[in-house]
Amino acid sequence: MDEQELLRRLREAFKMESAERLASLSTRLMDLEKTENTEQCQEILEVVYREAHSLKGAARAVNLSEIETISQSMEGVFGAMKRGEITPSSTVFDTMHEVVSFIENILATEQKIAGKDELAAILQQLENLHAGQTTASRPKPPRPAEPPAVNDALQQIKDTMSALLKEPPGKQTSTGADDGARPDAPAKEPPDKSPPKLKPAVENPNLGSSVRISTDRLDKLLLKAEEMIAVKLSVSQEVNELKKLCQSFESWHKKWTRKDSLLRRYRKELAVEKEQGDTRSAEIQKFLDWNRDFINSTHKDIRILAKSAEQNQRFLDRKITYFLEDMKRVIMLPSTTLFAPFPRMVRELGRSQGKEIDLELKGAEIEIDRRILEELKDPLVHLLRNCVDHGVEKPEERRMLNKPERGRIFLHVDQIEGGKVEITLGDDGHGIDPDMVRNSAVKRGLISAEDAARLTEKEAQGLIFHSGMSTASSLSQLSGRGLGMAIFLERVEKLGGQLDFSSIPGKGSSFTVCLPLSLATFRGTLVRVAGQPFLAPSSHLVAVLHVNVASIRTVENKATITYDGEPLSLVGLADTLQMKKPGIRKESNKIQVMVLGTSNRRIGFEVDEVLAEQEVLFKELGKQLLRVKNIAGATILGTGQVVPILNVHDLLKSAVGTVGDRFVSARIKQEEQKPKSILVVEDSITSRTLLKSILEASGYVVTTAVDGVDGYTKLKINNFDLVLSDVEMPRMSGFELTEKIRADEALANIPLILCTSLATDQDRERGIQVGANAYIVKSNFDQSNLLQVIEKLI
Amino acid sequence: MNDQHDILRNRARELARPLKDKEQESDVLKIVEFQLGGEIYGLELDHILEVYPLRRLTPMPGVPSFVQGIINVRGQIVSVIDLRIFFEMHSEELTDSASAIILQSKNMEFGILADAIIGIDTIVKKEIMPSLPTLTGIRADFLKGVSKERLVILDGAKLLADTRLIVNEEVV
Repeated sequence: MDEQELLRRLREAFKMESAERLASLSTRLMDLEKTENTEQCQEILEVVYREAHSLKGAARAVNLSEIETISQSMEGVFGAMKRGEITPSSTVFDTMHEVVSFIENILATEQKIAGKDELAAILQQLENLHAGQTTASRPKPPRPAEPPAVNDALQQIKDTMSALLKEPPGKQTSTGADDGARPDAPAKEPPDKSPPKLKPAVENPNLGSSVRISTDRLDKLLLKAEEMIAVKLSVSQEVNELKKLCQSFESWHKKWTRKDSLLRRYRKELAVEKEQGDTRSAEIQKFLDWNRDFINSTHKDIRILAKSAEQNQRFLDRKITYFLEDMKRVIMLPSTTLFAPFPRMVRELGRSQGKEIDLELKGAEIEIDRRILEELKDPLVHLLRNCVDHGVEKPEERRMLNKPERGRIFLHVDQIEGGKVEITLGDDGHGIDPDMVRNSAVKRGLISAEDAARLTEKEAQGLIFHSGMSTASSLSQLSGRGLGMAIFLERVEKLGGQLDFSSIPGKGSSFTVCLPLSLATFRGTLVRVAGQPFLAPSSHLVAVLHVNVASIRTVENKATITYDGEPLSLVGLADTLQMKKPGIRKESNKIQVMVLGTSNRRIGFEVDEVLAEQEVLFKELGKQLLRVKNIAGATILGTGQVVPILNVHDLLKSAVGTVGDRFVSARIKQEEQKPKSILVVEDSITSRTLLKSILEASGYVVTTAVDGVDGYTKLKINNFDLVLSDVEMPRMSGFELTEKIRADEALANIPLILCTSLATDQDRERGIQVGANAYIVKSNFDQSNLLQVIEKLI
Repeated sequence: MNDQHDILRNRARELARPLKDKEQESDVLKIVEFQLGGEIYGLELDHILEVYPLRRLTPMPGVPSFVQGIINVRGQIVSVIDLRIFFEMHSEELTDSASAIILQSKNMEFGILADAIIGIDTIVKKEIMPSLPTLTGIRADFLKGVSKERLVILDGAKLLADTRLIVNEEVV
C-alpha cells in the first residue's frame, strides 16, 4: 500500500471517528446546558474536554491541521470551563455548538483547507475569550450574569463564527491575522498535564473488544444469512417429500401383502407348469421375486436416506435459526445512534421560531435493527418538526395558558413483550384541533362537510394521516407539506408496525409506534386469489371465515356479512386488485373470506383459498417498481416461487373504491337468477340424450336441436348462453353452423363448442378457423373435461 | 443445460470471430442480439448485467400492462418489462425460450423480455446509421441507430433513464 492509499484510508477512518466525537460533543453540550448539579457539570466537562482532545490528536494524525487547531482551542475553552475560568452561559453554548457545526461542515464538504483567515479569526477570538475571562474576576457559583468583558468576547466569537458559517467555503476576504494567532494557541494550551488523570472517567471499557465494520459489508452478510431461510424451508419441504415417498412404499407393501395368498397359489400352479417343462412362467416368477426384492431394498435405502435427511434438516434448522438470531443481533444498534442529533435539532428549530423547547429522551439504550432505525429516521424528524412547528406554542401563549414557558417534547423507547418496541413521541403543546382538521379536509375536498360533521373527535384527528392533509394554517418550510403523516404511516406499516395516537386539545399530542425489534422476517398468510398466490401480513389478518353464500346481505349496493356481531363489508380480493384473469371459481355455497384490517377498520376479502401461515422475508419490488398499488413487496418461498405481499393499508382504501362490488353482488344476483341455458345440436339421439342429462345434472337448462338448420332456427328464437354442437350432421354440418353463427351479428359472440369423433388435426384447425371457442374430440370425451370447458366459457 | 450450451456456443463464436484489422476497443460497440415479436434488436453489452432464463414469472396486479411481472434473481426481486407493449406494438404469447435481459444502472434495474437470445456481436461505431424513418412512435425515442446489417440497436442508457418506465402509484 503506498503512502497516498494509507492516508486515504486513515482519512476514511477519521471521518467516522470525528462524526462520532462531534455527535457526542453536541449531545454532551446539551446535557451540560440542562444540568444544574455542579458535580455532574464537572463530569460532563471532563468528557467534552477529552473528546476535543482526542479529536485534536486524530486530526493531527491525518494532517488536517485546521480541525486540529480548532479542536485545540475548543479543548482550551473546555479546560478553562473546568477550572471555572469561563462560566457556562447560553452564549458560550451557542458558540460551542457553532464550532461543532463548523467542523462538521468542513468534514461534510471535504474541504481540505478552510480559509486561513477564517481559521485565524476563530482562534483569535477564542484567544480573546481566554484573555477576557482570566482578566475578569474569578468565577462565581453556578450561572451568574456574565461579566461584561466575557460577554463582549463571546459575542465577538459568535459574530465571527456566524459570519464564517455564512461565507461560502474557500472564499477568502482578507489575509493578515494569520501570523499572530496560530503560533500562540498551542503554546498557551493549558491542560496538557491533566489527561492521564482523566482517562478512567471517559475511556469506554468495551472499546478494546470491538471492531469497526462498514455497514455495507454487514448488510451483504445479512442478506446472505437471510437467504439461508429459503434453504431451510426448501430442505424441510424436501424432507417431507421423502417421507411421503416412504409412505407410498408402505402402501405398496400393504397391497403386495394382501395379494400374497393369491401369489402363493399362483406359485404352486407355476411349479406344476415348470415340471411340465414350461420355463416361461418360471421366468415371470423370478421376475416378480426380483421385483419385490428390488422394491423392498429401494424402500430400505430411501428410509435410511429420509432418516438422515431429517436429522440433517433438524441440525440445519437449528444452526440457521441460531445463526440468524446472532446475525440479527449484530445489526442491532442502540436507538441513541438515531436519536443523538435530535436534541440539538429541536433546540435550533425552536430557537429559530422563538420557542424554548427541551427534548426528553428515554430508553435510548434499547437496541433496534439498524434498518428499522434508518427507515424511521426521516419520519421521526418530520414528526419532531411538526411538534416544534405546530405543537408547542410560543412562550407568550404558553404563559397565558398557565403552562411552563419552556416547551417539552418527549421521545421514549420502551421494550415491550414479544420482541417488540414501542416508540412514543409527543409534546405538551396545543394538540390536534379536530375542528381545524375537519375544515381543512373539507376544504381540500377529501371529505364532504356532512361526513366531516359525523366523525368523532378521534376520527377527525385521524384525518391527518390522509395524504394531502396539513393542518398548519400557513405553510412553513419546516413542515406542513401535507404528505408527511401519510408517509409516516406507510413506513410504519411497511416495517410491520402499528401506529396509534392520542391528542387532547390544549394539552398536547403523542404518537405511539409499535414495531418489531428486528426486521429480518415477518409472518404472512398465504392465500390464493384468482389462481395466484399472495401473502397477507399476519399482523393485519383479523380472521379467516367460511361464509355461507346465503348469509351475504346486500346493503346499499354493498355486500356485507356479519362478523363479531357487526356488519362487515365484503369484497372480492381479485376485484380489489383488479386482476385481469379471474380464476375459475368452484361453485360452492361457501366462500372463504379473510378479514383484514387495523384496530378500527376491517373489511372482508373473498379469496379462493387460505393456504398456510409461514415465516417469510420481505423483499422490495426492485428499482423500477417504486410503489405499486395494493402490493407492499414480495417474498420468495422455499420453492423459489415469488409471491407478492399485500399492502393492507392500500387494500382498505381500494376496497372502498370497489363500491357495489360486481364480484359478490353479481354472484348473489346469479344465485337468484335462472341458471345458464345451453343449446345442444346433435343428430344422434343417444348422444343427444347423454349430453342433455350430463348438462342438466350440472344445473344447466338444456334445449336440443337435431341438426344445424334446426339449431340455427332455435338460436334465432331463443336466447342461449352457449352452443354445443356435433360436426357431422345432415342438412347443415357443425362447421357450417359455426360459420353461420359467427356471420350473424346478433349471435357472433355466443360461446360455441364443437364436439366430434373427427380427430384429425385439419378438422381441429378448421373448427377453430370457422370460429369455435373449443373443439372437443369425442374419443377423449369425458364429462369433467366438457364441464370444465363450459365453465371456462360461461 | 440449454443455457450453458448457449453460453458456450456464444463464447466459442466470440472467440472464433476473426479480428478485424486495427479495430480499437473504443471504436466498436459490443451488443447482445435478441429476438422480440418477430424482430431482431441489439442492445449494448455495457448496460446488461446478465441474461436470465425466464422460468417463473409472477404477474403483478395493478401495474401498467408493459410490466410483465417479477422474477427471483438469486434472492432479489427484479421486474420484467415487455418492450413490445411499451413500444405499443403487437404482443404475443411468451415462447418457451423466453429470457429476461437484465439492464442495470446506478439508479435503475429491470429485465426486458426477449423471445430468444441470438448472440453477441461487435459493431463498428462509425457504421451505425441514424434511425430509419419507418420506425416511429415511442420506439423511435429509444433507438441508438441501425447497423450496416440493418439491425435496430436500442439505447440501453435511455431505457434505464426513462421515467415513463417507473411505476410509482398511490391508491387515492
